[in-house]
Amino acid sequence: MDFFDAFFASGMRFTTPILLAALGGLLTAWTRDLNVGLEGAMIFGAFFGVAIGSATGAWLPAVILTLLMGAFFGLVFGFIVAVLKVNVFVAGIALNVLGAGGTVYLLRSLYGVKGTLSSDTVESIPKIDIPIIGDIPIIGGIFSGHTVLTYLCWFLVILTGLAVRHSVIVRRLKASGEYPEALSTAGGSVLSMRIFAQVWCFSLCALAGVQLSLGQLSLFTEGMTSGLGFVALAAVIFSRGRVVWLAAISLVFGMANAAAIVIPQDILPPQFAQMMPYVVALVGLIVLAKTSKEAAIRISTPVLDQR
Amino acid sequence: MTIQSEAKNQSKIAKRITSKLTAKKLFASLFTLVIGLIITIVLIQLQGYQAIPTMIEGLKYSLGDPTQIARTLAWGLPLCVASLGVALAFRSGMFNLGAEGQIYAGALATAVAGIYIGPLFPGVHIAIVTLAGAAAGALIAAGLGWLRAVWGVDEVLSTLLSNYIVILFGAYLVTNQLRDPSRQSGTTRTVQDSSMFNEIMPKTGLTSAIYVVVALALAVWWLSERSVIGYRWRMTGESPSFAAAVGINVKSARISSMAVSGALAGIAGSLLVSASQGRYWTEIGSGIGWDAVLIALIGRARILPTLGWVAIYTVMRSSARGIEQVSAVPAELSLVLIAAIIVIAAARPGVFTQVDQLRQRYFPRKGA
Amino acid sequence: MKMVGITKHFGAVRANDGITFDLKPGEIHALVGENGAGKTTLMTILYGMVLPDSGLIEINGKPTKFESPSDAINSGIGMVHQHFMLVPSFSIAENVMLGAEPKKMGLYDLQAARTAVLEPMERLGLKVDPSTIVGTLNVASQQKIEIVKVIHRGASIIILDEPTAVLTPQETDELFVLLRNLASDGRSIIFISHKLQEVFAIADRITVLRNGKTITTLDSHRTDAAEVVSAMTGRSNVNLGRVERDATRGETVLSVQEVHTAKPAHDAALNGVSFDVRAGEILGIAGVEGNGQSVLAETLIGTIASTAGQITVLGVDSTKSNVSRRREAGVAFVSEDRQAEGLPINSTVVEGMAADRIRNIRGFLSFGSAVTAPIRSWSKDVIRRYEIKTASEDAVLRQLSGGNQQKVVVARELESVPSILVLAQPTRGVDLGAISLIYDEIVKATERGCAVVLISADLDEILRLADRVVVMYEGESVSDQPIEVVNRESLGLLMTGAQKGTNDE
Repeated sequence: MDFFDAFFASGMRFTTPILLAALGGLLTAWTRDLNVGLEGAMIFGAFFGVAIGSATGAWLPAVILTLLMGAFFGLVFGFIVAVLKVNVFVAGIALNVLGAGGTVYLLRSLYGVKGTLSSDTVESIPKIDIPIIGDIPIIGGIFSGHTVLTYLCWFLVILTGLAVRHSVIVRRLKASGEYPEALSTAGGSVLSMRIFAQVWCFSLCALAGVQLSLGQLSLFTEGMTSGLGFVALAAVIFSRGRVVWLAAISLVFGMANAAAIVIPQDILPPQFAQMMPYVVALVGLIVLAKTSKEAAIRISTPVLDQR
Repeated sequence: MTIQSEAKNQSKIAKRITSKLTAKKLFASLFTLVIGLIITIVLIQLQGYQAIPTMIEGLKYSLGDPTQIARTLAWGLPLCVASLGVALAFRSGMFNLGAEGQIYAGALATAVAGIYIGPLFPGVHIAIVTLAGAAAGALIAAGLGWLRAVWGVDEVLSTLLSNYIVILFGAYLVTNQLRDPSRQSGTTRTVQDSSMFNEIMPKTGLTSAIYVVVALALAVWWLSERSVIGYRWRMTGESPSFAAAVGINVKSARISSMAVSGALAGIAGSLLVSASQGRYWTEIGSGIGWDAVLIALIGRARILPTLGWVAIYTVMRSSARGIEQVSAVPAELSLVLIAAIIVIAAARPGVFTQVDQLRQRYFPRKGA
Repeated sequence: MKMVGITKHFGAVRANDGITFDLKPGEIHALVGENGAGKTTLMTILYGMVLPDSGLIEINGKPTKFESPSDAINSGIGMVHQHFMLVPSFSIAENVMLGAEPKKMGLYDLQAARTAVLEPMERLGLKVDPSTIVGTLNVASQQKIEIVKVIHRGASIIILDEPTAVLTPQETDELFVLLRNLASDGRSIIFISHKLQEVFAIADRITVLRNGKTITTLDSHRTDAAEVVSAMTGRSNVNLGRVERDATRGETVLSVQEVHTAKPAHDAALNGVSFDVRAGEILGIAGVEGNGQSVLAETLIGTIASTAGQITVLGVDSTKSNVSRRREAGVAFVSEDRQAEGLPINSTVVEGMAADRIRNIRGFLSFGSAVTAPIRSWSKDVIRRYEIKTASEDAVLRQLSGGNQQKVVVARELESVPSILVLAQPTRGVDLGAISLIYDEIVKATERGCAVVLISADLDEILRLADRVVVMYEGESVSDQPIEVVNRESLGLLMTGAQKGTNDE
């Protein structure tokens, strides 16, 4: 029983950054501005979470300030993509490279450290134990003992799901992506919608990164996102823009991660365990392509012309 | 007007237009480089160092004397081949973001062929190990290309994911079956001498591989821009519906261009072993695949600009290492810069348009 | 409403040059001109989508400036665009409310949206549930929804851009009744069209634009088609009637029998199409778009595979042949999507033109040059013969005008000396000069024995060129008659599926 408890608990834990980033990316999928730089945004979030955390000595300001930073950079990114009309794919790739290189740069220039940043003053995000539920086997593992970000993440799933049917803004976001002229000729602002989607995306990816760094071991390692941003991207693609599917698929990836850790090393070498989410995602992509009739959300690649 | 004077008029107008265009183009590329320079200066100053002398030190490190130039050149060879490969795929509309993984695959295949086959006559051995590397990369890329062409699996995500799978698989092999028992884990044995390129300038690391790379560059340029095969690939990338409607086999164009792209990335990985490291270890790729993707994007997948940017980036990277040695500015400066440059280059038309619009609004011109 | 001295440049092109245009309350005012005359530009300026370089707009005597569509909407202007501004995955109610969503406590009020839409829909004769997804409706209904949208926002001036391009003659009559009702309510209507027959049927006044300038404004009761055409083109004696040609019919070169296809994304599936075409003959395929014409064109050239039936080219069963083999067998194709399927728009003229010749280079020579010297000099010759206005054969296709781009496509296909030429909407968005050259080339082709399949949503075009007419409805060929026995009304009825027609031989 303990085994399953731990398994589900770690599954939920692994799911959180993936789901947060995927929720962020979801809006950019709706506006057809799919941000492929989720990985880059996440790793910046992870870095600044620890950096601010060690500077302030407390986790809450670290989370909030990182969130605000994410929102600000989302604004910048949205401006670059929507106003300066930089192709969103190119910008996303640049963001990924900037994330990888930039965090190493900052690590070395601000802290003079190579590899890992950790300090005694950094607090990790405390885990919340729900009193009665926490004691129930299995269910306890699923529902209790997680960081506030995990609970926030699932709250956002419900919020977004409801918003699809009952809010004005989701309809405008979808119109901006599916048929922007329909919105602009009706007097709406496609620009605001596109920028808002990026602000949302960056904010949530920042939180995803913070969950990774402060939420577990409260340290930052170079490359610590190790492709989770791309797994989240895969989840967004698989979900075809539907919230319930997004949550389900992120959960599958999270559980696959947890499962891989749990299998003993002599049956499954560690590298194969680490491969699991990517293999699952790839297989899922293939299955999706073969079985779906709808036009999938194709990642919008740039037209490379310019003679 | 008579026909002759009309023609003369037209050619005069044409000349004026072309001269205006090149001046504009020049200004455009300068814009990017100037802003890049400004960013570099700011970043260096922020660390508390004098920008210009530091940058000069960096340039001296990369281009200061023939030895340094040769070293920089040697460092840039794998990147050059990988960038050509990625650009080629982009040109045919296939976004091969799996270059990093294909480089690792090529390096691994080369290391295996270099360790366990032979020793052979050097020329033959080098050819075999390079072909092994090309084949490894080609198989992976062609497979992903096939998935896209026949089953419609989006190659952006599939190639992205393939990187992690391939690199982790290589890491597994190199910590188990292929491990060099005499060293710490994570590396293979050294390959045999007959499979390595010869150094042509002592102590620089510049090997005869440079001839191979130059030949490849010419071949890829011809293939992409002039040949019939390249025409098919380019039309497939430009407009798949046009290509299909004029009878080009879009599926085979996609698969074949991915195969060649993967082969080139594999050769880049191969060079990392046979012209540089002499063995395969878990970090051998060091992000060259990602650099190649960025460079191909900046060069808009056209072969000549891509080669140009390879040169610029190689000097940047090398100079950044030089800067790191004389100051506390990390060498990752070059990565930050190149990412910024691609955004600036892509944003330039947008910036100019916005400036124009602002000008129109506040200082409207009378008439046209 | 008055527009005075409106001028607008797009780069070097002067789309509007000092245009004046006025509108009286309760009138239907037609704005006519050739493709590229500046009609749409003028209306996008009126609707606030584009800012003019100079000039002013007055509404009820008050000068106003529109910086965005919201301003125009607030001044009571509504526009129904040529390509409908409807989000396909949204419901009717959601589409009509887009931009002015009803709110209850900050949230989208689904009920209010629904009820607000029901009444105008009734009035326009739309008997569909407001939660129907717009993408599933037919074109005429979608247009009605666009009008509902415009009325819901309280438009007193309604602009319609080429509304009849996608309607059958019967649906057009219905639309005109609707417009007259709206006009008698006191609304003013601006009607952009290049189809003179309809303009005379509905408009009170006609303003003609040519090359971005206002040529004249006429009272429709006091003028005739000839005067308007000569104002539109600047020439007199323009032939808008039947294209004369000397055609002898030969053997059957193309035989299509009971062909079926799977359902594609944006069209109807082919559900049993059959017809034959003989050498030297022009077969017109009429029908409202969305009834399978695009799919038929793609199936004939081979980019879509058929699931049943047979296609015989020059006596040889070509049903399973791919595009390459069909082209070798003598089939040529002018696509309706000029800028994507017809041409590699970002490549050069010669690359777009020589595709056929380059395709024929095989084997080892594939490693050789694509644009060889003979191909280059051939392309220069073609540019001269077809009067294609371009800086050189190395100019980028995007820089050419629509008409010249189409000339490149037509030249490419005709230069392969085909036995069967399939044309899909060949003159859409093309100026009259290029249209006349394209028609000349088609005539020349038939005179040397080529069979032509002309797929067009423009009934006038079919009536001018075709020897026989097949009507497509819901993926089936529902009638096959010689041109002598058909007219607009009979074809229109068949296009709406009103009667499963006759198959005369």
